[in-house]
Amino acid sequence: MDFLADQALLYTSKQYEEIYFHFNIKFEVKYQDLFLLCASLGFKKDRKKPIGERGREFRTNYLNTRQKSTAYSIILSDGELGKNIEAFGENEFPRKSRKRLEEYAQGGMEILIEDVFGRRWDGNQLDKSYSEYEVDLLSYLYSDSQEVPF
Amino acid sequence: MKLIEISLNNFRQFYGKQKIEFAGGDENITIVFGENGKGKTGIFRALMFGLYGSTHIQQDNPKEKIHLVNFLAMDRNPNMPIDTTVKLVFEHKGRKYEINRLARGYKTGSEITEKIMDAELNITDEQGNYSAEPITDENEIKNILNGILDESIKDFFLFDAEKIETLAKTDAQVKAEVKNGIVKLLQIDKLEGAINLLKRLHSSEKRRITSSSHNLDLTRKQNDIDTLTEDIANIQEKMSLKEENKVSCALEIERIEAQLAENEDVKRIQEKLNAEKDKKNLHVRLAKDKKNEIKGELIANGPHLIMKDTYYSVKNYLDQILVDQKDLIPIEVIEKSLKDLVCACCGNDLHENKDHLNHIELLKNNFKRSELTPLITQITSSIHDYGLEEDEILSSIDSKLREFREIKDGIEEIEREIDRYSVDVQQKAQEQENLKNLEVTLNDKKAYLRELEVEVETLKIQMSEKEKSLDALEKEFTRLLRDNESLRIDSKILQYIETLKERFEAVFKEYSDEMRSKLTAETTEIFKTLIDRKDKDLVKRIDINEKYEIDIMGWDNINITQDISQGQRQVVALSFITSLAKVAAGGSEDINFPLFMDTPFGRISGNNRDHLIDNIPNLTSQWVLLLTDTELSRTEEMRFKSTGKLGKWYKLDQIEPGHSDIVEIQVNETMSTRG
Repeated sequence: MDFLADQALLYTSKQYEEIYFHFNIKFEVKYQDLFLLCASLGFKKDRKKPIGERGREFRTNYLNTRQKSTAYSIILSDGELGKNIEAFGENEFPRKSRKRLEEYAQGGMEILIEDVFGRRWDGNQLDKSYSEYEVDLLSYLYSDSQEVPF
Repeated sequence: MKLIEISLNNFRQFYGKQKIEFAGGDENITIVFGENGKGKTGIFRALMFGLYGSTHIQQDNPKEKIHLVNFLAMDRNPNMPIDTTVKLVFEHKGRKYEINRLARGYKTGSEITEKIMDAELNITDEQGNYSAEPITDENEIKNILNGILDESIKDFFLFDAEKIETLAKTDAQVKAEVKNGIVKLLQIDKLEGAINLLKRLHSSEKRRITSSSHNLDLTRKQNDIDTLTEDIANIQEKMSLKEENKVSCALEIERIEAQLAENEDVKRIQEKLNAEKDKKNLHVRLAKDKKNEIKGELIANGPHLIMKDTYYSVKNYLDQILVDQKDLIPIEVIEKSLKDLVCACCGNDLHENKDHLNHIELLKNNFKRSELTPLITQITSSIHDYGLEEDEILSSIDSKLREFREIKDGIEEIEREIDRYSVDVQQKAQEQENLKNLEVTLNDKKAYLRELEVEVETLKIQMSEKEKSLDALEKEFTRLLRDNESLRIDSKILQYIETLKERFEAVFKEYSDEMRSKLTAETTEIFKTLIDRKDKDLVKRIDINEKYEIDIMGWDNINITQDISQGQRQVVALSFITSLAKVAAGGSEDINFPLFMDTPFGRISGNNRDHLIDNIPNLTSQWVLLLTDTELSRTEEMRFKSTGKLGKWYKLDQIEPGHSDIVEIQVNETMSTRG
């Protein structure tokens, strides 16, 4: 039932692989950490995109308990797959869920590029001379969380 | 080991007979003072020649010939053999050793021929008895001397200027020196040799297998690996070049600033400027710390911030599921009831009571959910925990972000101050024609340094990416090899070599880790003794890290190796050197070998020099210093005298080119020539 505890793979997209690399090398942010941030954001802003060519992958069991809860919350709230925890045991469901998470992560990354990275993303990579991405990211998420949605 | 005296005859610049007696006991400092080119290093060479018969020291190009015989003596006696002798007397464990070495030179026309002749060693035992015949067998002499101070560890006690400079310089060279030191101390050079041999064997075997297999995939992978390895080597080379440039550029900046500071007005502003710079460094480190905390928040709580509104509906949904399955009956009971069509609990006939049958079927359906209970509990309790902490998390994020902005604003404010002072310095410099050019050069150098820093940073990132790819490629290569049926045996051979290498590396690491931590502790302790009080609290630890780099850790555990001045770096180098000597001497309270240092104070600031002068004599039994005029100004001279440790005091006088005299000076006389 707890299918994210399995060793299945989650893929980032090739298109944004450089961002994952940069956060990993420069800020020691692991792939799964950034992936989950993006997936949450994509879900919240309801933007999902196919990931296209696959980039760097990681295993779902790298997610810690709290991270798994976040990922399951996304799945359980998804318009199509959601509100159906009984389906967790079905054969195809884990695969579909992972795909959905990947799509949200892809959409979330797009949002980060538009709202946070801006001109520092040149279409291929982030401006490596800039060193405060993690601060900008948290500022963005924090102020977004404080906004009243009407 | 205690040095007693060294006598020279026609050795290098020292024409005729010359002698130095070394200080020992309570007054254990010997100073040989000489301006550049007067023969300080000649004394070091004489010691090396006397002890080991070596003609070359570290700073020499081993391919170039080094002449030992005095040129003047040869010029004045053409076609005549000229003898050069070095007699060294020292004590060790109650015995007295006298070693005589001879070299003979001729000059015919402009051609000089030199030959190293026999050596003689006389030993006097504890009772004062000496052997009838001196020992003349070169191998026996070598064995005896190596038993006292092994040639391979002599470098821990006897330093030429080059060694100290090297350790205070670029990373790559320091790494090699540090590793070398550890290997020599542990005498595990053979182990290192074996590892290198296995590495070479591994790569040649791999190449052989690849080329004989005619497997296109393997060849392609190997080519990729080769290209990548070459790329990495190139980047490494570029990086060490840039690092070297960085160091020399920073030195140049320090030099120009010192020149500018000779002007009183400029000096006053520069002091303020430096205070601001220190302040800025502190703030930059605080900002780094804060950024780390922010990253922690981002990873731990970023997704929760985004999802917090969703969490409540998820929790409601899951709670409802749990409610629905509340009246749980074991599945066996439900299934038996459905099979028999009789309720296993109350005996109700289910044929007749359709409602009851429906209810039991519903129970069965819901039962599936109970397998989900642990998962549901996990999710809801995570959400519940977050709900409890939400306010706290939000306020912690808010304050961290605000504090970071404040620190950044502080840095900007300081930068404005720095700019203002820099402009002041510039203006003062502009007012005086002679300082104008210096100012321009200074600015250029600073811009260049910034450029270099960015370039090095970029290269570092490139390098770590390439290393990751290389790692992946190597793994793929091994997999291809393993999967290939016909190469199974070859793959096993490779695997065997690899395992053997790994085992050796593990042994090497275990030994060297232990030594590293010993050296880390000693170096830190010595550094704390040697460094000026003002800087003491800034540095928490001198770390010899896994890559054999010397890391300087600040009071807040942040690496500040890049932020310290060349002078401080040199104190670090001296501390490391002294700690090697201490460990090599057996780790006793003080080092019972002489520490012999050629030009050690080069870039060390006044306060730090004072500390070295006060403290090194307590760390070692004998301290022999070869000092140049810029290292021994009146201030240092007074300091040396105030320690009460100064035992012997010599000056090198150049009578004419090729003729220096060693002149003994009374310790109460004045020596320094500069203020």
